Parts: sequence; C-alpha cells; structure tokens
Amino acid sequence: MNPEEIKKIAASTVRIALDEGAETVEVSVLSDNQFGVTIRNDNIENLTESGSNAIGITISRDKRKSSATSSDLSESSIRRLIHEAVELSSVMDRDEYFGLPDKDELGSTSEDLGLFDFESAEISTEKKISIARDLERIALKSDSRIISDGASFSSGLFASAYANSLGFCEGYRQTHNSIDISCAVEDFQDGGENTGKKQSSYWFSTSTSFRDLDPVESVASTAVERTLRKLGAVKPDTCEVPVIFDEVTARGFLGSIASAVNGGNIYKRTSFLADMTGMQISSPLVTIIDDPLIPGNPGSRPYDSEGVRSKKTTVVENGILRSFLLSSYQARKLSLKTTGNAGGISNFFMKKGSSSIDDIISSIDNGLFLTSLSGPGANISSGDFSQGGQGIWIIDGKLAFPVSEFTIAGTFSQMLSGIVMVADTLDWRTSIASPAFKIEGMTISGK
Amino acid sequence: MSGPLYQFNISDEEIEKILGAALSKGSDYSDIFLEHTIVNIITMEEGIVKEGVKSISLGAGIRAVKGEGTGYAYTEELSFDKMRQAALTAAAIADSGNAGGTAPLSNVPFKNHYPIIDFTTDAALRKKTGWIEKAEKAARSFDPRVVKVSVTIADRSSNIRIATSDGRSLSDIRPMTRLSVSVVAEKEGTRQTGVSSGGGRLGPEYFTGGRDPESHGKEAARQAVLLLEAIDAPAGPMEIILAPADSGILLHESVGHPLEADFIRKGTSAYTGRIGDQVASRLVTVIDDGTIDHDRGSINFDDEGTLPESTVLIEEGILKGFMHDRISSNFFDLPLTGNGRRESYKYPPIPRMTVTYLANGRSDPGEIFASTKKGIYCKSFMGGQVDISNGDFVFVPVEAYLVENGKITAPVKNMTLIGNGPDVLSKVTMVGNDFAFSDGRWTCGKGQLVPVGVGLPTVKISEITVGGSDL
Repeated sequence: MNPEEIKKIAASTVRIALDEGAETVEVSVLSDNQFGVTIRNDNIENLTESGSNAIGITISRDKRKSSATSSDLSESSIRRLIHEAVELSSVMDRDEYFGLPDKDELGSTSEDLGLFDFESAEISTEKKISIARDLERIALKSDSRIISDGASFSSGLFASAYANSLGFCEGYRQTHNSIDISCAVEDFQDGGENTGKKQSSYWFSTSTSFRDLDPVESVASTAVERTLRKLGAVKPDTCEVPVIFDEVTARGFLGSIASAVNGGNIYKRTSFLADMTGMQISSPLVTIIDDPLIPGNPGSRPYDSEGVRSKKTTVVENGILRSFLLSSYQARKLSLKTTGNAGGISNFFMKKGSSSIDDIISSIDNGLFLTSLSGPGANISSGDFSQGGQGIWIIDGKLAFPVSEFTIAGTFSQMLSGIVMVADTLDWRTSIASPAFKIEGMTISGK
Repeated sequence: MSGPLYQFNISDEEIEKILGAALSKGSDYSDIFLEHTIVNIITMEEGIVKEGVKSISLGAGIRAVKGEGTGYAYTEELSFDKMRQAALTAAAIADSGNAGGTAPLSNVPFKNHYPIIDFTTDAALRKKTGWIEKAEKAARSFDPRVVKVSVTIADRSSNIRIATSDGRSLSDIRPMTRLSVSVVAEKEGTRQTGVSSGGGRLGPEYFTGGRDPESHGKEAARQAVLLLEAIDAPAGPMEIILAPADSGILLHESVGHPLEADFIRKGTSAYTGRIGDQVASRLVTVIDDGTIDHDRGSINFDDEGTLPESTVLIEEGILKGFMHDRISSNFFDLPLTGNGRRESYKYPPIPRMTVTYLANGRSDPGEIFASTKKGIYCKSFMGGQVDISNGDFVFVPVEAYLVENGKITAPVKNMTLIGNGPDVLSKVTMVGNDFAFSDGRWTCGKGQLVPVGVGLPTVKISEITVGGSDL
C-alpha cells in the first residue's frame, strides 16, 4: 500500500476511536513488502516474498492507557480492535504522566532524508538471485577450505503512517537492501581433541539505495578473511591487558550505552547512568550523538513514533553526559523535554577520533584485538560487563595469533573512562555505529 | 473467543488446490500453515497497572520444498485467491520437473499434551490485574531496599491448522501463560536486579497449582537483595556445580543448538559426521522431548504436522541422533523427530528444540557439594549463546555462590561462564538424582523466537572458565 492510503486509514481510525469514547488516540499503520533469497552451494536454499500490514492503536480515557495491534486493516476488524482497547483501558490505573506530546513539538522535518530509492523498487528477482550467487561464488573461489553457510540478498519496501487526536497525520516510505555471506572452515588437527571443530564468520552490507551496497567482491573477501584468521584459535591466559574493540564489538558496546541512556531505563532506575547528567562519565575522547537527520542512513526518520519532529541530540560531549534520549512520557517523568526518541534511538554513534587502526594496534605490546562478543552479560542496570569473546592477540604492536573461549569483564564506568584511543573511521551499516577504540586495561579470563 | 477452534473458512478442496499450486513448478512437497493468534500483555510498574496491549494476528504461510530448497510466501488476507497467489510465489523455488499431485486431506489423530479447561486469554481482565497486584505487593513488601518492581503477565492462544501435500491435516489451539517479575534493589549506590518468572502451556490453574503470583514476587526480590551483598566473581578455570532445572540452559546452548540438523546438513556444526562418537562423559544422556505435559516447549505436533517424540541425542556419552525438520530428515533419510518449528505464519519451519534435558543420575546432591574444594554454584540464569561451528558457548548466571571446601559461602556477581560444548560435557564428573524441569520461562532465538523448555539434575563439571573481574 502507498503512504497516502495508509495515512487515510490512520486518520479515519483516529476519528472512529474518538467516536467510541477515547479521549486521546494514536494510530500507526505499517505496510511492507519483503524479499529474501539465500544461495548455498549455488542452489537456492530459501526464497521468500511477502507483503504484510499492521495497525497499532493506543487510546486513553481519564489517563488510563491501552493499546491493541492487528495485522488486519479492514474497517470491521479495526472497529473490534478499538472496542478491545476501550475495554482494556477500564482496568488500567490512572497514570498522571500519560499524555500526547505538546502540539508545537509535533511535525515532520522538511529536510530530504533520502529514505526511498526508486531504483531499489525496480530491481528484478533474477538480478537479486544472481547477486547472491556471485557473492557466494567469489567467496568459495577465493579459498578451497571455505564451506558456505549461505549468501543472501534481501530487500524491503516499507511505508508507514502515524496519526493522533491532536490532528497530526504524516507518512513516509523507505527502501532497504542488504547482502550477506556466512562461511565456515574446518579447524582441527588429526587425532587431536578438536575433532569436528570449525571456525565461522560472516560479513554484510546494507543500504537504502541499491547502488550504495558494497561490491560483492569486498563483502566476500572480508567474510573469508574474518573466517580464516580464526584458524587455530587458542585459549589465552587469564590476565589484565589493554583491549581494542574493533568496529563490530565497539558497536555492541555502544548498543549497551544506547540502552543505558534510554529514558525508560533512567526513570525506572535500571541504568547505571541514572542521576549522572552533567558528570564526567567517560574519557574526554568520547562524544556520542543521536542524529535522525543524516540523509540515507538506516536510522533516519522525519519524526519519532509519537510524531515529534526529529532533531539531533548530543548525548555525551567530550566525556560529559549531556542528555538522555527521551519520549514525551519519559521526559514528563523526569521533568525534562522530549528529545524526539519515542521508539528509541535513530542513528546513534560515537564520533570518529584521530588515530588510525594501525597506530592503535602498534601502541600495544601485549594485548587483545577483540572481534566478537557473545552472551547476555552486559548488565546496564548494575553497570557490570562480562561477556564471551573471540579475537586476535597482539604482541609487540602486531596482530599475532587468534584467541577464543575467554571472557572479558569489567564495569561500564571503568571501560568508558579507560578509552585512550579512538579510531578515525566509522562503519555506518547499521543504526548504531562506533569507531574502533582502545581500553587501557580489562580482565581476560582464560586458562 | 479462543475457546473453540477458530474457523479459517476455507474448504479442504480449496486447500488442496492451494497446495497443488505450490507444487505446480515441480516441487516435491508443499504445506500451508494457517494461524490466528491472540496475545495479551499487561504490565504493572511503579505501583500502577500501566501498560495493556492486546495483539491479534491472522495469516497463512505457504511453503514449497524442492530438495534442500524452500520457497515461502505468506498472506494476511485469507481469501482463496490471495492464498493461491502466495502458493504460486512459493512455487518459484522449483523451475523444472513435472508438477506432482496432492493427496486428499485426512485428519491426523494426536495426543493432547496440554489439555486445559480455561484459557488465560479468556480470563476476566480484573482477575489478571489481581494476580499482578499480588506479585507486586509481595515483592515490594519483601525488603525496604526494593526500589522498583515490574510485573508482567503475558498470555497467548494460537489457533493453527496445518495441511500438507501428502494429505496430512491437523488443527490445534496452543495455550501459553507466563508471569514475570523484575525487581531493582538499591543500597548505597549499588543497584542489582532480580527476576523470577514461569508458566507453560496451561491456563489460570498455573497460579493456583503451586506457583502463586506471590512466590514469584518474593523470589525476584530475594535475588535482588541478595545480590547487593554479592562479591565480584573470580576469573579463571574452576569447578562448577549446576543447580537443577534452569541450569538446563547450559545444555540448550552447548549441545542443543549444534545438534539441530540444519547445521549438521550444511556441515557447519562441530558435531557433523560424529554419530557413534563419544562426545560426552558416560554420565551424560541428553533427550529432546516435545511431549512433556504442559511444558512451555511442548507441542501436540510440530509446525509441519509431525507428532513430537522423545529423541535421544546423547546416550551415556555417545552421540545418537539429531533434531530434524522435514528437509533434514529427507536429506539424511532418517526418521522425522517432530522438531520443525516456526515463530509464526511469517516464517518457514526450521529444526528447533522443544524440551531439552539431561537425564537423572545417581549422585546425592550432598556428595556433589562435599566433593568440591573451590568452585561456583550456579542457581539461576539470565541466558546464553553458542557459536555452532566450534561449540564455544557462554552462559550468564544471575544467582551464584562461591563453594569452598564443600560449603556454599559468599554470593558472587558479574560473571559470564565460557566453555566448549564437547569439552565441557566430557568434564561432567557427577550427575545428581534430583532432576527437575525449569518453570516455563525460556524463549529461544534463532532468527525466529520459539518457546522452549529445559531440565537437569544437580550436575558437577570439573572445570569451566569463570569470567569474573577479580584476578
């Protein structure tokens, strides 16, 4: 469905809900078309194509809020849904802080965010399949040891609309393209204890515009390199050493910081950053920004999920915590103003530093280049951090040998304060982006 | 509303035509998965019933299979024309060969592993808010250091119908109830969280059958307050004792995932080609069983219409079998195991665990503690993750203690345990006689979310790397 159609549905749903006795109404309507193909060993392993709709209605009466969602956009179904929501609101408690945003905060940015690519909507299925095939073929050809776990092309056309009972009604369209490949390789010595052991890795590229996808050659070679460099990984000794988070693990770390500055976690006091505004929470090398207005970026949007006009927010400036990321409700709970972050982050990133990655590696005599983190051990509530890791050991300023089956632990506060070098490149494939950085010392638990 | 089976208003003849359309380009097999699901979530926070959401989803997913290839499409409009169109989209997976015929549909009988009288989905809203308020009150009044309590009740009833091109037709309602309590306790700037949750494929009787809402409230508060006094965990290899029930998450990660047969079929699992090998200590028998009554991970039939069973994966340390979906079972020419599962009509089924457990042993738990000089006793868990290819897995305890000279001493916090599946299972040195299933709280993510169950008796592992921060 196109944005005009779904805007109409959103606006008429608001009117029906008001007629049914709701005092405030918010409606969001989504419509998407998704395509995905996975090639494995030159055959199509999966081919999926589907269109999907969803409507979400939030109403309130006497500050008692409830919501209902459905995949059925027919008017009869929407009417039933509104009845369900009204009934549900009757058992909710009054929430003094509930309300729509102030009217003057509502609006859609006038800037062109480059969210929709006409070419993407036109690419044929055959072309998408052949790109996935090429991606796999190049990877398999580059090294005979490589086992393919599949190469994919996926794309989406996405339209959304949002309307509320203050008269806001807007909609926009987005396109999305991505390619990825996963590889594995045997990693054992005959008769050794590693029977059956393999190493695996993957790489991907994403973009709004089809033409901005990375070439299949570079995606394939990065995936193969990241797989092969794990061969023969050993368990490191238990020790305390400097650690470089590469752009992948740095992104994971920054994702935890995004949760820690989320207004919901602040007012619920489930963040180690609650009460820390204005304080030095990090090394001065760290500046963190949320910016929904970067053209073509994956997290860009003209307004947030309650219709508040998008704007840039500096979260951490030279190590000082400047702002949380807030919806209007979270802002009211904290006696602050919304930052246009209902629905969460937009493009959340750490600013680039001035060190090249080579300089950062060569600054370490004995330490770790961390390439993978796993597990749910990043606890933003207590501020404790302990995760499983994989990476490459650094000796005398050089990447020396792969390591795995260790954990890396500390606290978020120590880690943020311990950032002593920040790399000069930023990888924008996802809505969270971080340059690689070096932390002075962390506990590695291994042998 | 969810009581009787939902009527999808489509005749068997029409379904056979749709399945035929999915085969029209030469696929070997096709199926259709019709789903109508109602989910209710109510959350109490800061002392008020604050969030209430009702979600309804209705759709049909149509799959065409050719060898190892899957074509898939779904529609949310359940008209014959739309479903037929989706079937033709799915059919495109095959591009040659003669169109096969479909067998006439007939109902497949099955045993009901979760018979219930009432659905939580249908319970009066006031009844649900009443359970929530009881749990909240129990948590809040537990200790003055409790500063935040959040309680959520989530219930679900899924009406599904599966029909296959080989003539199988099955319909079911899958119930689910889950209560979870999360508590934050604070003391002099230290902040800790405790959680307790449970449920299963049952109705409101969950709350009267031993796990009343108060018990979850108290348990979450007890954990949060306990952790305020916890010391930093040590770093390095140590002996580990796993408490019964929830520790099964270690098994789920370390051997469960690598024994899902899609990884085996693709040759990317550490266990590929190892049937008959000794992959664990002789004390270890691992079973996946989707027939455990009312368990969160149980199913009356899987999402491609296969009846579940008790599948022995590892028997006394020897690798016996894998968990199959239809594609892997055909690929290996091995029997189906009832492990083809999916999150919803939006996804094709893939091999997934149901209820995965380690069978009971002979040791008295007291002896297990007495034999431990210095180790960690892990009681409850936040979750885990595994690297399928090499078997390295992590899991994160919430409640854990130091064990010194056979005695539980101080609670410890902030640690991830890391091990290698085959390596850790070969280091199982004692298995207790106190087996228990986890209260239903686990959801497994593998591109799609499905509810699962785990279980384990007390188990001792002679060495796992403990990733604390205290050197």
